[in-house]
Amino acid sequence: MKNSFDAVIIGAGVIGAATAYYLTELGLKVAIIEKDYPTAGSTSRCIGGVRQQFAHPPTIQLMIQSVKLLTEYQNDLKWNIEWYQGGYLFLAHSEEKKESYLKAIAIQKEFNLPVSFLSPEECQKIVPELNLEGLLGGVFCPTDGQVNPFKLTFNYLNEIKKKKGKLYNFQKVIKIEIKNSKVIGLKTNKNEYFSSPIIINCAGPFAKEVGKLVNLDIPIEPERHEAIVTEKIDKSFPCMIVDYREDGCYFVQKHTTGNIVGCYTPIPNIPGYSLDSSFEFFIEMSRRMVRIIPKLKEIRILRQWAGSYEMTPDGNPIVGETPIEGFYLNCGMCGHGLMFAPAIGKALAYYIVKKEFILPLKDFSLFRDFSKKEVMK
Amino acid sequence: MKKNNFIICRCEDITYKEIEDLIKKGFTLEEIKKLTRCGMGYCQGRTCFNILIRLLNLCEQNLIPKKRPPLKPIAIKEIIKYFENEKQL
Repeated sequence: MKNSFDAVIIGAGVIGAATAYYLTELGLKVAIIEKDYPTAGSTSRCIGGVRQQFAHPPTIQLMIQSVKLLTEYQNDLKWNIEWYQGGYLFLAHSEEKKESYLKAIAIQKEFNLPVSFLSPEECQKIVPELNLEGLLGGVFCPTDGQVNPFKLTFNYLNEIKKKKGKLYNFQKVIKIEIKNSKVIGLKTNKNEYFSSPIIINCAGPFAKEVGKLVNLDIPIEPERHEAIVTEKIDKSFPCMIVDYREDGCYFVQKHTTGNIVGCYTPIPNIPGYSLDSSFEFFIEMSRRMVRIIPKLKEIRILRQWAGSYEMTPDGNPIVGETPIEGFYLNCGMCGHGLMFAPAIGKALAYYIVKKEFILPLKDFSLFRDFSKKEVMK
Repeated sequence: MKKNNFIICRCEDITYKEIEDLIKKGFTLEEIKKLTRCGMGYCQGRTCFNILIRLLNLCEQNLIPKKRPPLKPIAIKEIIKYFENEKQL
């Protein structure tokens, strides 16, 4: 049959692309169904940071693997993905924050992360224009970095097309067929039928909607996050700067172009799939950035935009099996999809094909206890 | 002047040939924008998008990317000045 595949992936964001890449590596014939163009959902809206500094051990292990894989793509496979290890600097402005960072460091050290707590002066050596007012120090991990989300996704897609993979753009899945509680195929709005014993939900902010097609309630809610980009300036700092105060923000200078991109987590959060821009964010983001690096007030903002964080109750992704045989999840990335993608795509592919856990995916199961929250969200 | 060397996006130095190659591969406007950065520079597509849209002959799948604020680049200090004035009122 023409449209018969070993696995069908719903969503051509970075997660879907990475999962498809590793499935084709393992010899499967894979189709990706994308309702828009690749990266149209959340991937193209992310600011491109990759970090290993988390407090949840399985997350740390996956991120370490992602960093290793990104380095391999760039150095060994010669992919042009603009991967650059400039580090991540988390600023501490209160004893309480410092304490929580020190606790996280203790966990991260168990995995041999080269992370350390720096004095304000040491922070200033990394970010020369940093405002030291009220700063107690910061945690820095030099092996964290930044990558170009589009280029990473398009490299994956390029590779799967060379193998037994196919990408179907501008097709929306409208029906998933189940027989004897096993998935057997799906139908799109272009009236095409794809038969496959494995269907993987990588639909990002739309994962819940896709779950509804098989009557599965997936605890994922999208939230609106906004971002800005400034004009290009000379290289000013190498790392992502994260300020976790209630009115904090995070931003990074793109090492290839020199633009600064940044965003913050709104409090209270803004649930729903809205991609509108708000004037409040425009002003607040400017104020918050300048508070950290006063010199930034001289540069111009080019654009603001919005994207979705797909949040789960505990701030960790949902990956793996569901009660329906053959229906897998790889979603609910809570804003960390890009950094999870290489490792989580590989781990899920190995689990599906070889039934082996190469990384601690069990902790991200749909059947876990959702009450323990990620501290370094 | 050779047709291939035409600069289409002046902010990011993208040539006619680079765009044409991607169109031939079947990429849409949004994808071309993201892969080349055409329209993501200082002018935010105000100069190049009209040419790009012509080249792509606007089909259903090539809707024009969303226009986002600000209308033109604005210095952060101006925004902060506005913020401080608001606070005083």
